[in-house]
Amino acid sequence: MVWAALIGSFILFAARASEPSSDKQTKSKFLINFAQFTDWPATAFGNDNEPLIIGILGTDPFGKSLDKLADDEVLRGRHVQVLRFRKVQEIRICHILYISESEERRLDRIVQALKEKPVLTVSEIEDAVTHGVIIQMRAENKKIRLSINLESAKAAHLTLKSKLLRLGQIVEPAKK
Amino acid sequence: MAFQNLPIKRKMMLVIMLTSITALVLTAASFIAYDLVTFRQSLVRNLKSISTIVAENSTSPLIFDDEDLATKNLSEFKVDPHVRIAALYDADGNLYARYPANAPDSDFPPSAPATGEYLESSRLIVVMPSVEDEKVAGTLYVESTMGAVYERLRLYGGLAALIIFGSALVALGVSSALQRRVTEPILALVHSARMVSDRTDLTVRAPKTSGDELGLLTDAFNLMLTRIQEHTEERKRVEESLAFLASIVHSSDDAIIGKDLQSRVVSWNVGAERMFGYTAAEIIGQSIARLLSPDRPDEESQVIDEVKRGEIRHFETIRLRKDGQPVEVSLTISPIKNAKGDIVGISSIARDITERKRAQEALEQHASVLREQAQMLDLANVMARDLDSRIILWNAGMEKMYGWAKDEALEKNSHDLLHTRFPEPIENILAILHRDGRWEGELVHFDKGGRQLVVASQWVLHRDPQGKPAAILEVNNDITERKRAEEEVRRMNVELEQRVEARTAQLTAANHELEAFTYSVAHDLRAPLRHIDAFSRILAEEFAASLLPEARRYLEHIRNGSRNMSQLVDDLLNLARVGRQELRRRPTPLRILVDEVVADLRRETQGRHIEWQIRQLPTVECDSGLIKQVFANLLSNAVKYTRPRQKTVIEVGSAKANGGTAIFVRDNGVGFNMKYVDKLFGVFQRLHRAEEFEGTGVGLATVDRIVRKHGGSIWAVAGVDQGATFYFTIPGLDEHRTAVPAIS
Repeated sequence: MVWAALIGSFILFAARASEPSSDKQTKSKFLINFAQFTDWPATAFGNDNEPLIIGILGTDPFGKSLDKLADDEVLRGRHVQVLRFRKVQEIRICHILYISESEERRLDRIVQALKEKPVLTVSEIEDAVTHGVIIQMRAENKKIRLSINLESAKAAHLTLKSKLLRLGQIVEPAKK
Repeated sequence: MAFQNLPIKRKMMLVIMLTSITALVLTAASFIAYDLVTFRQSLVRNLKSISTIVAENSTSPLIFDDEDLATKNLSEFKVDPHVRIAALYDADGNLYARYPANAPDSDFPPSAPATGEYLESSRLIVVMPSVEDEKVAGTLYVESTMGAVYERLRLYGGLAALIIFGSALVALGVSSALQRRVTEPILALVHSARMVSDRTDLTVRAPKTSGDELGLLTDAFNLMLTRIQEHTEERKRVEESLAFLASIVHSSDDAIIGKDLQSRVVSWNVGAERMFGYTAAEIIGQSIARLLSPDRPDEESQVIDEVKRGEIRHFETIRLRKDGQPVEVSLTISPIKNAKGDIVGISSIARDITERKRAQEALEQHASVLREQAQMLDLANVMARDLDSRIILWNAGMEKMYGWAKDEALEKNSHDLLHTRFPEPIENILAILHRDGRWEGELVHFDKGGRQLVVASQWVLHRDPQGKPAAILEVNNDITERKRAEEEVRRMNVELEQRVEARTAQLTAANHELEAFTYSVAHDLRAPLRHIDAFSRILAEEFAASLLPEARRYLEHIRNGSRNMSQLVDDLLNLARVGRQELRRRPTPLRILVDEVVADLRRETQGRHIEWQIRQLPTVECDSGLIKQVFANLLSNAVKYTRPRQKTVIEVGSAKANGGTAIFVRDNGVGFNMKYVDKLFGVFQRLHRAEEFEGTGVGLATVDRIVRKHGGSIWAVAGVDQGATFYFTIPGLDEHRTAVPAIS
């Protein structure tokens, strides 16, 4: 028992050491707050009581901080629920999908799978926007900056508010 | 210059200008105030709308922590130059971004203030939340200066000043045009008034230009001028007629003098100058008193009093000229009245009648003297003298009476000549003479030889035809002898009286001596009497057996005689005592005295039928012991002299008698003959024989003495066999108001 506790706390410590907790929290906040500047088509929700679902695909970089934020959050009149997916096939319904860096190799497939579905894709993978992800978060001068792919947003039937657009760098998708 | 003294033209313009400018200023002020209020509201509205936009746009930079964008958003406030500073606070209330970017921290509140608008004097602050999706992302703070308001105020103020200035110019033009209509008639009126006063031209008339109050004023002014013109012409006529009258006065030979009510001369004509010698310049303003004759001091004031009552007086008198010479004048004094009828002065018109008067007087005096001479020359001793007592007539009777010849007497002062002694001061005699016209009295004169004469003198005041005293006629009769005889008679009377008085005194002294003698004799007689009585009683009682019946009878006579004598002595002593005794007066109810006496008489009246009728009797201040003796005597007499009556009635009461109240004792006894009434109250005087009615003859004398000693009187009324009534009075009876029947 004692050993188990010691090992647990070690793991927690190691996880924290790998990424600063404030950074994690800021990113969680960003992820949740994107919902405020995004309009989903009416078909994205079954009824008014349905929660807004934030999905995490691949390795979860946020941990408990995201759940904590989501617990008492009401966005656009809806409660927030966080779901974690390992494979893209598991995704049935999701409004915001964070694509973890662990999925870098499968990124194109994932984008393809979600094509034309009203899901706001967010990722920190380098050049993710050029691969069709809608919002990419990147660190710049110790701050998080956004890149936005408007084409992808349009394709997903999502409307991003201009206020959000002014924050980020609009990126054209790479021609393949 | 004060407003009151401004020309009316200026005043009117000032009034119009002030009124219009005041109205404009008030209007402009209210417009500006209204505009400022609405402008400020719109300022707040504008700032709020800009702020709303900025707050709206600032949600994303706040949420996604983009300071550059936040600062850029705030720089939107550049469009409004009045926004001084602005800031964004994050959701935790910390200052996040600022405008201008270089503004120091101290300009901003350290943490986000509460939402709202704060309007302060120099700044407007708007604080509002920056909200996204119903969530507060942060707070916007904007502070704007009120410079816009003041700028606008300056602009409007300038504009208003311009408008007011312009309006004032227009008002000036309009008012100067309008005021002319009002002021021109007034100025015309003023001009006319000035013409009248400067040139005294009463024919000027003011032109009438309007029908308003000014027109009425002009009419009134013109009417007034007409009146003054008429008045002036009237006065000129009056002055002419006055000058005419004045020349009449001036040329009159009579002195015509005007005086005020204090007798100061106010006008003095040439006639007056001639008559009295004073020039007008000398006398005007002086009192008229210097003209008055000193022997008539009251004349002027009397006359003036009458004239002040409105009467007009004509009389002749004497006035003094400046050189002191008298002037005989006939005066007419009349009041001078003003228009209201009040007396304001006195006019005197004097005519010199000296010459006429002198001639007339001489004639009259002569004539009257002749007349009187003719009447009285031989009838009596007559003289006439003037008012200064100078003898102007001395007839033969006078010559004979006083020894002075006519030539010696004439022109002399009669009182000096005869050394007259008056029975009262000569002033009183003259006063009576002047009042009644005559006087009668006795004078003492001395004749030429120095012999004293008593004269009965009759004076008659002779008046001249004007009624003025001129001379005194004196008729004297020598009554020296008669007076001497009268004096002798009076002297003898006095002597006689003195002699009577001396005799009376002698008589009184003798009476007193006699009384004293009587008293001592009576007193001394009692001792031997008592001896006689005592020894004759011893003789009768102890030696009766050895005495012959005849001797016993004689002895009885001796005893009766000595008893009578003893009684007589007692009575005489009592009578003498009454004469000597002092009265002890005190208030005494007479009824009580009467009741006591009736009780004392009970022994004597036993067995007799006597009806006592005792009426109401007063209480009197008297010597009760003595008055009791009076009642005792009178009642015992009544009892005594009614003895022969079967039924006796004795009445005591009070009644009116001889104008006063008297006490009376009445009986129905034997009475007496009124022929002897005088003897009734004398000592030892008896009207009945002692065999019939016993008595000493001293009782009524004693009564009489007591009553007289009280200051009263006693009298009796009776008839033979008709009863007797005794009345007496004592002082004080009348003071008691008891109802008393009159004597029937």
